[in-house]
Amino acid sequence: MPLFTGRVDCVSVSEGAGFTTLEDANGDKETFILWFSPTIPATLTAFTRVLHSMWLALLRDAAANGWPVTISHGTNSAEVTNVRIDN
Amino acid sequence: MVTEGEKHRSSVRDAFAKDVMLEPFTRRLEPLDRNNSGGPDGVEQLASHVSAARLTGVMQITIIDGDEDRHHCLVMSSSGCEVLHDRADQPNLEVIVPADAWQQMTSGVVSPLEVFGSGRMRVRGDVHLARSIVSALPSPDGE
Repeated sequence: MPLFTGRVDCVSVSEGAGFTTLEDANGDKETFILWFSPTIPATLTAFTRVLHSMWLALLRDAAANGWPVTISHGTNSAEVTNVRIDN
Repeated sequence: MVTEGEKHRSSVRDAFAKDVMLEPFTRRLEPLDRNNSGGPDGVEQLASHVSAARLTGVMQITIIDGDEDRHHCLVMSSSGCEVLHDRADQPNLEVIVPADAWQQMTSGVVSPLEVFGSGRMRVRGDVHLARSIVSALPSPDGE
């Protein structure tokens, strides 16, 4: 699964969608989907909402402290499957 | 009868209609001409619309068609928009999209946000430039 490592440039949250943009060490940015109603995730459960909340907490901490994060995403897809702080 | 696709499009438009950043991406594109002047991916016609907007920057479009990747670049400057059928060294913006999703998006079947939101498109680089480009394109959904 592809990985992208970078600093958090933007986190956008609304009821229908959550996005984040990361900027890597070369200054290249990419925007990723945390959730997008009604397609991502395909099945929304209470657990996935908690998972989204945990991803936001990680991204918020990373943004506040300038820590890099690594995101896993689908091949040729912006759908996030995992968020990790690399501090 | 309202199809599932129309319901989905309507729900996406309703959800993001008041989001200033995302609203332009909810509009479907006017179908692009794929005849000789438009090229197989319709990029030349895309460029002609963008040309009038006097944007600056380089947008790379990577279309994944099976094992083959096709690259097109829109090189935008104050004098217009040129199309190159090759990769750019340092594009300001790159979209990476499967051929079927590109076909659906540039035929006006689905909006750019629907394609991105279905996980079938990657957007690398300057999202503000992407917004300006999409805003410059005609849409059957109006402004």
